Amino acid sequence: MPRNMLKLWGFRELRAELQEFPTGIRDESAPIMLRGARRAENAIRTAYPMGPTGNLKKGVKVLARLAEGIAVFFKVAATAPHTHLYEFGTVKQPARPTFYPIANRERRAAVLEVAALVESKGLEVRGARD
Amino acid sequence: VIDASAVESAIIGKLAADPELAGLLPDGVFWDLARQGATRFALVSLSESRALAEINDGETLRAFVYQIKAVALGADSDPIVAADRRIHALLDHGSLELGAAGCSLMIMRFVDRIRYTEISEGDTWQHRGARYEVTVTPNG
Repeated sequence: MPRNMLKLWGFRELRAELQEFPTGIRDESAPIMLRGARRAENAIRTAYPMGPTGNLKKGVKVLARLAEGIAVFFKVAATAPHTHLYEFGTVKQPARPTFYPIANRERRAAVLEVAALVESKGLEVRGARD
Repeated sequence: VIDASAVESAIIGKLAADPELAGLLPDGVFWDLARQGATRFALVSLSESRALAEINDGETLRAFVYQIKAVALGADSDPIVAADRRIHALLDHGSLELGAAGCSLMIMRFVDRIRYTEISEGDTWQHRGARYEVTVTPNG
């Protein structure tokens, strides 16, 4: 073997494990993210007032999971046509920020859970707690 | 101790002190709701806030997200476009005098855009602005 060659025993196995690892993390992360999305959905529905139609509450939904590569997405949406007037205010009513504070709180909580899961696999997590 | 009310006053003060913005929004800058009869004004309100992880012996950084928008009566978009642009120029990565708030500015930055039209009693009102995050750290 030439003197300047470094041979990594088991590299093939390590590479195979790394290729499998994200899939496992994704599959374990998905339920955590879904629970977070459901918590946000319920909390936002609870926080919105019941109007004459109930559309503000009924419009809060968790939309279909869109997965690409190892990413896991759940989208929480407020779909009532007047949501922005409630959230951002009108010339007669002040803004009543509800969606962002709740959605962001639950998203952070879910990300921290995923970070703990990743750490439990022996990996280091950076940035998730900011 | 961070005085959140003083942070809010600093933002309103910065916007209110700008002559260009005052020309575009002559009714002034208000917290939450404008005064009765105002037709071109800026509104500042709290969208969300949180404390960031402790890094300095129990003192925390705090991030406030403010909704800051220009509001104008009428369908003419020129004044509100200019006002929105001016607010952005003043705030995004801008400075903020926080001496009275017991903290220093780490960063003030654009988060996401707000734009919609409201019809109220037959009148058209335009709302344009953004959410801006203001992150501060306590002095001392």
